[in-house]
Amino acid sequence: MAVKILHMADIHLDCAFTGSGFPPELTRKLRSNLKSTLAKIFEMARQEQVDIITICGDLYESERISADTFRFLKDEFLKLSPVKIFIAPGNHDPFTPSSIYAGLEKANLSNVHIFKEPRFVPVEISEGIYLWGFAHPSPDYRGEPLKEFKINYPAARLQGIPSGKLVLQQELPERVGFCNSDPERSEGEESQSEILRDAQDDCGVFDRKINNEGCNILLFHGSDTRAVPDGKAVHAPFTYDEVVQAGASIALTGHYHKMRCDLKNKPLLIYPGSPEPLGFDESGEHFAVVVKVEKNGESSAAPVKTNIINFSTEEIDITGISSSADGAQKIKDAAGKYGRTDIVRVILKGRIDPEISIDTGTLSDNLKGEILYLAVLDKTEPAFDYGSIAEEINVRGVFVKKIFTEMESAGEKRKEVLEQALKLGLEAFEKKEIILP
Amino acid sequence: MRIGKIKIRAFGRLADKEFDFSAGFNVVYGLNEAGKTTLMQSIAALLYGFPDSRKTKSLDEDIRRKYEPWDGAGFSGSLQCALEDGRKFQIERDFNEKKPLTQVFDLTSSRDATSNYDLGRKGNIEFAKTHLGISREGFLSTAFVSHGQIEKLSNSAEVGSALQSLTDTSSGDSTAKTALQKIDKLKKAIGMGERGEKLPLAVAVKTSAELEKQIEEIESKRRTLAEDLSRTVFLEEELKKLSEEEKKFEYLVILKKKENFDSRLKEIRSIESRLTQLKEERERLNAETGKFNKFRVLADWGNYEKFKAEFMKCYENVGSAMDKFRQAEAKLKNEVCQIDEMEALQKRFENVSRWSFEEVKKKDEKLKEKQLLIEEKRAILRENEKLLKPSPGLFVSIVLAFIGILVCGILIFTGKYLPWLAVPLISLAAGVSGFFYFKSKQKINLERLETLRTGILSLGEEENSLRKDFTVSLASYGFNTLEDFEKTYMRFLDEKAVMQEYLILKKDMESAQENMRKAREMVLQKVLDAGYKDATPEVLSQINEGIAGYKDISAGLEANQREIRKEDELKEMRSGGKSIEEMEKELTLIEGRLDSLKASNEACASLAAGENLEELERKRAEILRQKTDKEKEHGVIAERIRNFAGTADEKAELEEKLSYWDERKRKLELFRDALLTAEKFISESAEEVHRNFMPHLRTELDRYIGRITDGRYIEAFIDSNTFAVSVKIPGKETPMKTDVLSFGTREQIYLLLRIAISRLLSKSRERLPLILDDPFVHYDENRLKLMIAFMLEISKENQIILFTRDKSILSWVESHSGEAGIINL
Repeated sequence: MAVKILHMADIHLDCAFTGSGFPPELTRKLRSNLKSTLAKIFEMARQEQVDIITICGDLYESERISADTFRFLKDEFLKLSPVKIFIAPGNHDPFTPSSIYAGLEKANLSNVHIFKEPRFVPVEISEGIYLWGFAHPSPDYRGEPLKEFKINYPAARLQGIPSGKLVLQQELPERVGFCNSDPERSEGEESQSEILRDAQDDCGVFDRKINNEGCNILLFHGSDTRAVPDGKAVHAPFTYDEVVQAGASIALTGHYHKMRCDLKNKPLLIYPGSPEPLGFDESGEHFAVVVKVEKNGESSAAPVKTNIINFSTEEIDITGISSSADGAQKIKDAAGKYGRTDIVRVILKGRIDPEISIDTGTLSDNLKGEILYLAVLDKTEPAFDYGSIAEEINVRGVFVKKIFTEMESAGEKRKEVLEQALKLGLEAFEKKEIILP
Repeated sequence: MRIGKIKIRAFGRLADKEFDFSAGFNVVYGLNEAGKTTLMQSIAALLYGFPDSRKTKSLDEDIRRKYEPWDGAGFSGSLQCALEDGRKFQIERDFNEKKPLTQVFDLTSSRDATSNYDLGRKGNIEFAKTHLGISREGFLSTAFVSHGQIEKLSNSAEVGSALQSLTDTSSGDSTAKTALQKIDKLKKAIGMGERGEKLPLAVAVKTSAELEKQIEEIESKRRTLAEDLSRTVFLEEELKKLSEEEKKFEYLVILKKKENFDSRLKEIRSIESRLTQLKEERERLNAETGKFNKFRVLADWGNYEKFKAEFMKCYENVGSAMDKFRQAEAKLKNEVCQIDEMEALQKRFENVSRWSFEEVKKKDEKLKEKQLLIEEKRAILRENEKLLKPSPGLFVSIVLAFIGILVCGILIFTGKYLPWLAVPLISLAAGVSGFFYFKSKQKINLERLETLRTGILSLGEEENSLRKDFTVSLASYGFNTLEDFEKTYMRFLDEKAVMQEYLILKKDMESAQENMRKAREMVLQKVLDAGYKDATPEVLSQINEGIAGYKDISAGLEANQREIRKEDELKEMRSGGKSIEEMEKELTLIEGRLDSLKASNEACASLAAGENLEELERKRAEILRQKTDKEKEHGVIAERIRNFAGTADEKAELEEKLSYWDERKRKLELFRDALLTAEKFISESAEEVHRNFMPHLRTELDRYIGRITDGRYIEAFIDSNTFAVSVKIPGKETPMKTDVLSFGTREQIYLLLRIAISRLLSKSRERLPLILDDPFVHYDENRLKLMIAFMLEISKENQIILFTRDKSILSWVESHSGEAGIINL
């Protein structure tokens, strides 16, 4: 019987939008929107009549999750019942004794299962279909979860065996045994009864007849090292080959905020991406993914758009604008095609008259109601022909030459100062008033 | 560089024009709108082309459009120029916007030198920049002298400033000094070297630090958040369960109360019913009481029973006593005839007790004992008297002693048989000792006899005393002898019992009669009050019955009253002072409340069966207590969560703010560092350039100062910082500022130095043509002539092109210089 799974990750409830320059009322709205989106996804899950929901890490940011969010999660989870939720904690929401997950565990929500350990622990979600969940134990976990991991047996104890290899004892279909490649551990070190007892503790399939069929789904938060996005920290690195070698049918992952859903290669490796974008580097649509899984390992996936807010960036060259109003109009035109759920960043490029300065604050206010927020990043350069000026034999030319000379041997930080000094120095020679940053 | 021929095919209002400039002084004359400015612009355009729109001010774009012909056709021209190294070039430019074209021809070698030049955007070659090393802006600022520029130079400071501008920026706008002043102002504005908490950098630093501290405080408090959240979840679950339990027990309590209430109500109804019956009973008893009223006094008397009992008892006693007395009297009469005598005997011996008799008898016995003793003593005396006779032993002792003495004497006297002395000595000794022994014995016997005699005497006295006593005792009873006494006494004793019995019975009878009388006296009045005539047992029986009846009814009434009171109290207690109607209303409310709780709690109704109300209320109170405790704990933790953890927005906003302020701080620090760097480099650059320029400027000044001051001043100085020119007056040590000079002289100095500077600004040290746009429009004739003469002078070394609308200038030049180039627009 097929299982329908709604897979999501990286919602980042209670995150801070540091470095964005957004005003507090906007960031509050964005945080509130994350909750709305999560509620919306859960509602969609009910309408789609999914069997389970998997949340693969970074559900919230542990360093600032609030009591209010905790209650929100508890209430939402309760409302979802009887749909089951499986959570594999990530680097922003690791499972620790003092974490919110520990609190949710104590709430004893019958439809919520939170994986707790930094090893793959199986849970049978349907007959012959197993979900192997992995939990980050700390924010800076850098282990390799799939290293030497292999599924041979769908439900067995892995405790004490960091990278256990399990082999069915074919002659005893009701019982399980294990052997592993660890030379320090000898076969039969534990009694069969101990193994069986612990297997029961782990996954409750103690007395089920084991067979070689079955679908194994990995659920973990990690970094596919084939393509790490620029600037993204690597947590729990793994390779696609390791997914293949593990013997999984599907890997449901999280960590990267852009959806990756390659349906051509098996096993499937699915990053749903963040359901809502969290910055300008996450423009475009965002999704959760509905995955259908058969006992024989056959599977399919369909992304479902989830985001309400959009982050967009427009680059415009405003070289040659005659006035600040002219520049403002160009910005307005660039932002004009967006609507009330759009946060638009307009990057200004080009060389403009140093005497022209564009009041982005007023512009942003003017666009209120039309778009959600306008951010203007001024990367224009004053219309100084540095090359030409450097060739001048006057004080200004010598000044520029001196700066250029020092730049050649300067480190990055000093270069930044010199660039700024160059601009300031030339502006100081101009009539224009220099405004403090 | 000297400009030669210019051909304009179409440039602004100029079309198909050719202008030939001389190497020295040139005048371009034209009235307003003749095209002077157009020609000036064409020179710049032909030397530099129109600027790259990305790099230059937008105004220049406007200039291009300003001079573009309406139809765009033929927008082109050419310019010939000669450099100081002797090379000559021709620059051909087609200013077509879409397809601009620049060609440079080396006239010296007659080759197309276009490929030697960098093609800028849109194929533009900045020819003059390549050869002069001055940008278009620099050329315009340096070579061109516009309206009013000279007029503004009213004092040496302004002259210096103007020259400094050229040196520092190749423009007339600003100098290194003004730039440094601007930087200094910015430094102060940002907060460098200034005290002030409100200055931007200080504010950014302080705000960042404060935000970090606030975040740290939140962080430290958040550590307990998870535990608190877990605990609140647990408590909420517990409270939920306790609320359900509370409701359950509330239901059970109310159920039990209802049961109790029902029971109470039932009981009260029952009490009411009983009260009704009791009241009816009371009515009946009250009615019956009348019959026994006459017995009320006796009943109320209280002692009646006692006295009646006493009376009856006495009555019976009298009867009984009388019977017994009569029997005893009869018996006595039968056994004893003389009752009187017997009574007298009884009377005689009434104080004589057995003891008394025995006492007398004892006295007699004592007397006899004494007598007997005396006799014994006497017998002994008599015996002892016999002992007084000397005993034979005495005689023997005397004999022995005598013999002893005799023999001893003999022996001694004779002296013979002395060893046998011991024998007589022994005899002597025996005799003497025997004598003394028997003598003493005799003495003793005498003493003993004496003692006996004395004793006998004493006994005799005692006997007399006893006899006397005995005799008196007897006499007191009226007897002389003991035998009489004893005989009579025995008789008394024999008869006594019978007599006593008689007397006792008699007494009893008399006593009973007396009691009877008293008892009758006690009850008689009451009996009479009761309507009877006398107190007899029959009457008393009747009275008894009456009293009993009265008492029964009274008792009945009392009991009834008690019952009624008891029932009333019970009813009061059970109803709490409420009427049945009120209680029924209350029951309705309880039932209503019960109904409201029934739905969710009915299943547990059976639990109430085994418990009493107190137990249920105790359990409910315990649940409430637990609930209160947990609510309190929950409140404390919730408050702690609110206070400590804040909302996610709070911390996130702090972090966002911190990010903003950190970035601001970084930007301000960067700005500060950039200001310091710019300041340093501008200062160094200014110092370097000024230092480099100064010698050349001084040389130029020295060359011309005498000439332009008519020899008044032969030495001039130029300040390397301010570019202020001072002149040395011959004979005076201290140089004077050029303020002492005439305006015209100052202008000349200015133009001289300007030309010198422009040359210095050219990297190839090319002399730039000085292109003046009617700068002397307000000059008077004399001044004008001086200036023109001056320019003619310097034009020998530096090409000057003077654009003017002043015909007098044209005329003067025509008349004074045959070599000047004259162009008439």
